[in-house]
Amino acid sequence: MYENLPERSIICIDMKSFYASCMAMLEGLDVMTTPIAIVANFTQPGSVVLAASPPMKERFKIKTGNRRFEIPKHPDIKLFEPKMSFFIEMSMAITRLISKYVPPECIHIYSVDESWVDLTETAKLWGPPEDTAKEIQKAIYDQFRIPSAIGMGPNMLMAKLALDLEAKKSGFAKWTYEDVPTKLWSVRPLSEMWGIGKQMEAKLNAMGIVTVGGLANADLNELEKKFGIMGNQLYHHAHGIDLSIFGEPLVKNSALSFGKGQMLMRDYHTRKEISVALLEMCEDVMRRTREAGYVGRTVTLGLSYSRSAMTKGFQRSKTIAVPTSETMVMYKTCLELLDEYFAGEPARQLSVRLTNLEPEQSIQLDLFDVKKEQRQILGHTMDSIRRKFGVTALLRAVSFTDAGTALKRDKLVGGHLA
Amino acid sequence: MIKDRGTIKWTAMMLPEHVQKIKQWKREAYAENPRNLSEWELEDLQQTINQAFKQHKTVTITTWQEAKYVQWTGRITALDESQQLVLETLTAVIRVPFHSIHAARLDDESYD
Repeated sequence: MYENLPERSIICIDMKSFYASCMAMLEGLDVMTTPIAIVANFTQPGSVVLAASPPMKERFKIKTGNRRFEIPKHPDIKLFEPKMSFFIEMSMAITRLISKYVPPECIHIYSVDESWVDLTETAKLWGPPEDTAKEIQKAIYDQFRIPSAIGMGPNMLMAKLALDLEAKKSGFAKWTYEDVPTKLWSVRPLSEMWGIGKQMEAKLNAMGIVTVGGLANADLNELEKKFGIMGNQLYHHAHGIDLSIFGEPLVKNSALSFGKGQMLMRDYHTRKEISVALLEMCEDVMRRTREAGYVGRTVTLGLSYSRSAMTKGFQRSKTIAVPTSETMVMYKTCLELLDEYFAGEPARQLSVRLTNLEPEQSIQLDLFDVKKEQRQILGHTMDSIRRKFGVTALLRAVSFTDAGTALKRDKLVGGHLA
Repeated sequence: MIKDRGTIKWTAMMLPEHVQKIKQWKREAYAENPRNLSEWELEDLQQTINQAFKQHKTVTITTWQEAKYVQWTGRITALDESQQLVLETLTAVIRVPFHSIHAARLDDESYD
């Protein structure tokens, strides 16, 4: 079964409690002995824990996803708010350090704190890949005081699985195809494995599959019939088989789109309040669309209700006749979607997206719409003012109402404090 | 039969700010250094800039910035002693350090 399959030396490296480690480095604390938690926002008790150091997890049972009010008051505990720009800087510094060992095309960045590195070709240069992996791990710790875990395998998936299922506890783990039956097949519940979510787990359980071994020994045809190509992938992943190669996920934009989503700070009850946030989001999405030189036709609106609501929310799209980059056109389409599908429950999460894009080559003039050209130019003019003086230099009046979020969000990076 | 979805499955949750930094890093990593100019090229460059400055001619200057060539067109309003020249373009006034200048061309002579 495993003939002709990739036999590379790929590592998946994960920074342990990355945000907490970064803060510890900045504050001169030891992340392995100090209980540290990064909390999204001090002013809100319901604010979420973004990262926790190992002692925080062990002594106080606080991990990522807990809420601020769940953290006990204890003099040993150090709480910090995020510094997203700094975290990204640190992440880049680590990437640059890794690129001292391999060329950039051998580094595949997965998130701020996780990357794959292909060490296959470096054996001649640096010796056995395992030693190189550990050397990189040590270099990161020596230079940044950031502990990490490394999983190693013959392909990207195996490296990731070795990391998630073994190395996160031991610091380093190397898996080969021979390890699949002993180390992977016993895994349960299924959602412990990368690529299987809670919903997929429930569906598989309903089929009588409860372990990864069960999945590996299931009938491929049946899985394919039920889940399509994902069924095929599930089956092969359960055997540790993965043909993916180091790609360029960043540049590939086969399905180019512009979008924005946000979790609202409180429940928005009325159409009026929601529309304020929507207008701000449309403006931002369209600003980026215009800057990239595109126009689009399909508008998607997503809305999730607050947890107290009875219904789940919706995501619907609408395609308009003439491609546009005008904020107000997108906003109007969003409102139409809102009026059609909004159930009147308190809303907590919004997203808007523009797809079906094409390059903006010329303005299609409309005999009955004489102001179109002016509006187009106005959009670009507003954008250039914002480029020069900042995104909030020019805002729509709604942004100054209670429902507006643009002013507060301007200071954020990735939804958190910069 | 293995129907692998390839790299798509690893498409990550990335912050746009992070993606931007990565792109910049890759650009730098793969960038070649600018070609060194020969003595006569440097002389020619100096002559062109002097002429543009003294005769208030529109000039296009090619500079090497952040791992790529960038062109600016405008009039030189000052050559200051801190190894910079001040270039007034249609929309902005920019300061160009001498060492970053790679080429200069007088605009009205461009078709000879």
